[in-house]
Amino acid sequence: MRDRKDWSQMRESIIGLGSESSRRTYYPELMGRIAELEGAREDLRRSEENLHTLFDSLYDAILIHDWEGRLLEVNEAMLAMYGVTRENFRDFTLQDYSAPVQPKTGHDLDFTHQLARLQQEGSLMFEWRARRPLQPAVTFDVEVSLRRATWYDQEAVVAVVRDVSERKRLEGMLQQSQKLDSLGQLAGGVAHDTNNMLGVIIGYSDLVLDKLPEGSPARGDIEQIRKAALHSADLNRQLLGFARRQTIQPVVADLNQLVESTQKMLRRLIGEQHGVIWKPATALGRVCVDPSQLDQVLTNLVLNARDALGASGSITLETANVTVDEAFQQLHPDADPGAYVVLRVTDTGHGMSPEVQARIFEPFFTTKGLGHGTGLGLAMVYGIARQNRGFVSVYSSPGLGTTFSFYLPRHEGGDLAPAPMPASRPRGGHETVLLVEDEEALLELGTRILEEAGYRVIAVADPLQALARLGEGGVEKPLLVTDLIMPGLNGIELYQQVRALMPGIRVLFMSGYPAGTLDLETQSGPGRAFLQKPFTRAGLLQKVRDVLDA
Amino acid sequence: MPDTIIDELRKFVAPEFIFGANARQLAGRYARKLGGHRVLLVSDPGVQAAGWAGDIITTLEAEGLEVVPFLGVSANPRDTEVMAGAERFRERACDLIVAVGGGSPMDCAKGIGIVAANGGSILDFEGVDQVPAPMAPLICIPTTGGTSADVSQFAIITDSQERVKIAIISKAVVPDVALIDPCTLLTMDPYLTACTGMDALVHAIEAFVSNAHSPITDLHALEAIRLVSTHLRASAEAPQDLELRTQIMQASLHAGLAFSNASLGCVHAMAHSLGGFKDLAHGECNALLLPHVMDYNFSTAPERFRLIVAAMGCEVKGLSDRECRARLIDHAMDLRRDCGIDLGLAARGIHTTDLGRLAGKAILDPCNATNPRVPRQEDLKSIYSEAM
Repeated sequence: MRDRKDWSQMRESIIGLGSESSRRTYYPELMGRIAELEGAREDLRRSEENLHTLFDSLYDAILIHDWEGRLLEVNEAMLAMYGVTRENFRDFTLQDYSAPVQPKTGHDLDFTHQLARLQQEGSLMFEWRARRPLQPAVTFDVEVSLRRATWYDQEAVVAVVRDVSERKRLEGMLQQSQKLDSLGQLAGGVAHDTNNMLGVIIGYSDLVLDKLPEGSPARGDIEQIRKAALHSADLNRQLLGFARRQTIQPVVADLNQLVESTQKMLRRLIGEQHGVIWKPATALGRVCVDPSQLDQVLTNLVLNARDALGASGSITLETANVTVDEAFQQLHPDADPGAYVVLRVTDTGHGMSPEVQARIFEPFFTTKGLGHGTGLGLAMVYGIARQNRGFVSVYSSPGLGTTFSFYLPRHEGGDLAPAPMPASRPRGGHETVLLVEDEEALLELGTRILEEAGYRVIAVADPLQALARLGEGGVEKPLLVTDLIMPGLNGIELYQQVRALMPGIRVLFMSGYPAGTLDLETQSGPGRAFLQKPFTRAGLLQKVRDVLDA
Repeated sequence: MPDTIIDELRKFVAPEFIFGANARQLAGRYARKLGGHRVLLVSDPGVQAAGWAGDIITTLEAEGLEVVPFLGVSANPRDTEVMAGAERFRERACDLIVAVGGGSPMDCAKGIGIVAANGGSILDFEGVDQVPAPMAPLICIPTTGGTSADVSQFAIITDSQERVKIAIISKAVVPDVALIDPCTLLTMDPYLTACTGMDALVHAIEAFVSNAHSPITDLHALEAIRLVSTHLRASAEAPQDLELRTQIMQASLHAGLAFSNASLGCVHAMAHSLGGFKDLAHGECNALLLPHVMDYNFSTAPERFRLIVAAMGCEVKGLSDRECRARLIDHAMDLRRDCGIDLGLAARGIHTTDLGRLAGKAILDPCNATNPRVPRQEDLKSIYSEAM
């Protein structure tokens, strides 16, 4: 219930004298709404600015065009990609922005076909060859995605164009690298099988020569046979080099010193008419490499350079520290990121066409004409680089010259154990040798060489049989000389089982593959002796003596 | 009664209004001048059937305005209708409201304007000066002679949950323009004529005896009382007489100007409670309650009631207060009956058990504030029972 005071206050209000009773103007309300609208407009402006920033930040080109192929709007990336400006990009139609002949189909441009498909499907993606309208010679591969859109109330098409020429180039390089890899496997396999046969030829030649008196007319013939076999073995060695299957004895070395130590030999190779410039880098990082492999690399690169020079010109040898980052890796798929030391051999010769460059590391690819080269030199350089976790690059422009860069990973650790010095001349002995070799011809050759040097030889073609023989007893602790790869039981497994029977037994492994490929050390213990096939008589006797005397 | 001339500041609020035959035809021109583009047209089915809604739509469209119709307003408009209208207003982005009809469409239109401009529920704005933001321009075209919502600062809305009418009193609900066209009364039937006429009479009497009356409101109130007393009977009998209709419309305008500024009293407080409870016509409620409230108030302001009796056309010279009081009540009763508003609340479905509730709601109404006698709830209850 209200009292009189309540009612009198209400009366005041009703007759219009209350503080809230005066008539209000509409303006504050209006101004508030205008401020709200202006705020919204400002938000919109900023949002549009942001979207525009995105539009122009994209790496892909964006073209908005009508169904007649006239451009309506483009982003900054488009201007850069097609070499046009904000002022003139509308002067050209899609026709002008496309190469006249498309590589995929080999046909002329067919816009109507693409646009008809777009009408039907709403969006579309295809490969295309684009060109710069102001430089019609500049064409490049692109990936185009089209989408129907409305642009300022007009039916339009949004085209997103990605330059894929770089990707295509990299794909090509990767293919090349894969091709070299498979060629390497093939060559390695062939070389391995040939190796055994060459070993037999060389071994028997040695045996025969040992028996023929000086001055025997047959002696010259045998010498020729032996020389031819050795030459073949050398070719084989190069093939294995390309296949990354050379046996290596890497040492930690200063690349500058290695190069300097070969200066005399290189000078002789290059000849007097060409200048040689040697630019060793200071503070050059060290590398871990087999010096004889580096000799092979240098020899091949320098010979190549010399042959490119013709009558005059010079060859520059230089070294440098290089860091390979992800960007660099993009250009050289072979390279892993990290610190490298590079050896560069540059000639001022005739250079190479891109087509030649593309195949330069393939084995048996040669530009030197029949009889002037094996086509294995650069293949071996490539293989050696890969075997040492490095890589090779070539830069060449026709008429100006060529630079080969041979990269080896920088070695950060300490020195490796020095390789044992070979004894001066092979000696025989009277110990027992258990010779296990599945290739009968080689088994027989090895037996003969060892027996003639005074050793007692137990020759077995089958590793299981070897175990059986030892199990029979009556054999004093022999030296085990075994092939690594055999059917049934491989060399390492054989050694492990023999060692269980006769602890402390000594072993010499043989293989046509390098030691590294079978992971010899981790499986059979460190410092195991290894003999690379094909072996010479002297090589076999030396190794056997070394192991027995160790 | 305080002598208001020397004691108080006084204010008189009225919209711009145009009175006269065919004033309604200016709707389009005014809507355009007020800056409207899309007009929410608020009306009710009866007015639409009488052709006035369509008539106004035509004049609006002739001025190139787009019209969004909202024509379903019921008698005693409910809060839910207001909210639906406000939703329509916002949804269609209207910028001006035109109300065509009696008190119901006009009050509903005012409610729509309030909610559209301020948000919230219409019930939040109950009371005096509770509307913060001004609303979109409003043009009122009355088609009854009595409501006076077209010139008043009142809007009465039914709280459908509480079943009571709430009063919204604010300068914000004074229309921008009233187009008062007597021609629109030609379609009223006799009973509606009687109810709305009695409504105008009650407006005038309550404003005149209001404790907030002023010399200006007094002039309008007495003129309204005179015009209704003189012409309502004839007008109810001859609906097609434009001259009589014009007098009634004029009476309604005077009454509206008076009560809008001097406010009302217990008749309206009680009629709001009654009309919210039983869906009865507002003028009818007023007519049924008027004699009994005057009887209750008489002793507080006998000299002012004496002036009312005189304005009704009775000779008051030499009459005692008691005789004067009897003359006043008789005159009011006679006029009501002559116009066809007979019997009492009981005949209209009100039971004595309802009276406590009705009085409980009525006592809360702000119209009580200006009643010459400060009412108590039990007073109101006994007045209801007298009106049974």
